[in-house]
Amino acid sequence: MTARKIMLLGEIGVGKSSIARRLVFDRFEGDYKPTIGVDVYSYDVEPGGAAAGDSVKFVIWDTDGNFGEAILSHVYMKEAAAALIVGDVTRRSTLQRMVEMGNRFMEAMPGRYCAFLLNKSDLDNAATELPPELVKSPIPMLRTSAKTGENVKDAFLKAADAIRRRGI
Amino acid sequence: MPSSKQQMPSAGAGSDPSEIPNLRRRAGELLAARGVFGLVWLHRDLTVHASFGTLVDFIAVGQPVTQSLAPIIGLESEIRMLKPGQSLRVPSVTMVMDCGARPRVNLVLYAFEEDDLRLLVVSHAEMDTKLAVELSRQVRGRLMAEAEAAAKSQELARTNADLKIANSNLEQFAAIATHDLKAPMRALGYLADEIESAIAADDSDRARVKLAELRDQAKRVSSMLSALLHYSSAGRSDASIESVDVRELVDEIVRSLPRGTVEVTLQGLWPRIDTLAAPLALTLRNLIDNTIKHHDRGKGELMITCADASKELEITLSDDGPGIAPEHHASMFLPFRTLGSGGGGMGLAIVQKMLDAVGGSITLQSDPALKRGTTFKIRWPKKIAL
Repeated sequence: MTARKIMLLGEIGVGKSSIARRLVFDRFEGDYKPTIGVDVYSYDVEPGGAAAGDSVKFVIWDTDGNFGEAILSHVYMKEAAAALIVGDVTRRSTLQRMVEMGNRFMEAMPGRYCAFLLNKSDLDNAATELPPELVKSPIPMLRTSAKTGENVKDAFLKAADAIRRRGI
Repeated sequence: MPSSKQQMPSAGAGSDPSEIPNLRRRAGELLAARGVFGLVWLHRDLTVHASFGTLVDFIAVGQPVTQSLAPIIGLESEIRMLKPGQSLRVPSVTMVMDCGARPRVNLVLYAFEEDDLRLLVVSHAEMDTKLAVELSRQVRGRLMAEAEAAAKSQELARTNADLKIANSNLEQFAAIATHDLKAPMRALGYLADEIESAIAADDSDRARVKLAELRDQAKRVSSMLSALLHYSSAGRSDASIESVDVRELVDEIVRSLPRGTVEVTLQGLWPRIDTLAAPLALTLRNLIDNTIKHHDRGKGELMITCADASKELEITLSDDGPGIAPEHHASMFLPFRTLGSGGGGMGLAIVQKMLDAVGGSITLQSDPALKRGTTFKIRWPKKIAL
């Protein structure tokens, strides 16, 4: 089984760790514990389905939102196969920053897979109108909810499929 | 990843079982240092050969190490560039475990070469100083053992070379004893027969003459044996390196020899060198003595010149004596070879032996058919390995 490094990027409090925990342990913890530095999770993507082909192990690097865009030039990013950039759909500014981060990632690591996860889609105050730069962005996006599990697994399967197709 | 604890090292599955005991022993030694997560032996392509300690659960044998250990994924080029003895600090991460544990992993990788394998030691960063000292001690121990083995091997090579020279000398000695001493011994037998015959014929005068001849032959044999003993012991002295003023040494030799009418002149640059004083003195004494002894005229000249030839001292002795015919040049340096104008024929043999012992050389230029005189040129190394 080959291992691939997936980066979870995004602003503080957008739910990166919740997404990782939902994927790996299939659970959601309501109390917020900010990530300090980097938390590393391991997740085996089984073959078949959206990620057809050989099984792959994802090593998910859940990063501290405090890094901001500086994370892109950090050694933590070395050999990352993909980045899932998370925004809080209830906070518009995090979505704008998510787009900026996505653009910077594509510049810094061309050819790598990148997707936007619009998290907390389960909340009542989830934004219905998205920032125009996000709408226009060529980077694929997915509405997710770590709380309900909506699209969480699917987001990673899509990444696995893209990585396999691109031979990353 | 579990927190660091002292564990019995265990090999990762799939390792070559025949190699495990040795690796296990080494792993045990290294894991004795606190704070070590584990050890990984890698092939050149960074695939895992065997793993020990707490890394066993994380690292799969046969797989690239950079695929197995999450914090080092992406550091392949850095690990490849690590030279033996160097270390790499891995950015700190927290491993989120299934059981809820969240060990903070702050790793330092140390690279070492073990035969054809690369050893990667993973430790806690805060323990790196202690581990580095421990590993340095082990590496130093190994280097010292290697140096000791190399010195022993060198000593053995030198002993073998000495033995070869000793064997060669022994063969030469045996050849001389059987060949050169045979003639006077035969003469002794012949004279004994003559004396017996003279006594039988009641010819006491002839018997007395033959007895006198027999005494002379006996003296000659005795003298040859003494010379042979001197020759065999030459070069075997417990010589030590001393600082020698070469000009002073030559002056002293010249003063001590009965020069007769041969005028000795010194020319050139005469340095002071650290060398085996006794063998150099013996060499020069025999050469100078040989020239003076074999001079055939009432008045003669010997010019001794010294030149500094890089790693050697070049000393030339030119005389205006009778010279040595080219056909005798090769045999002049063998024991008991003389052109019959006096001497025991051992002087030049001793010179040759001394030069062989120190790694020097001698050349002879002379052709009486063209010109009188002989030139000996010796090259004496300035540095002599004892």
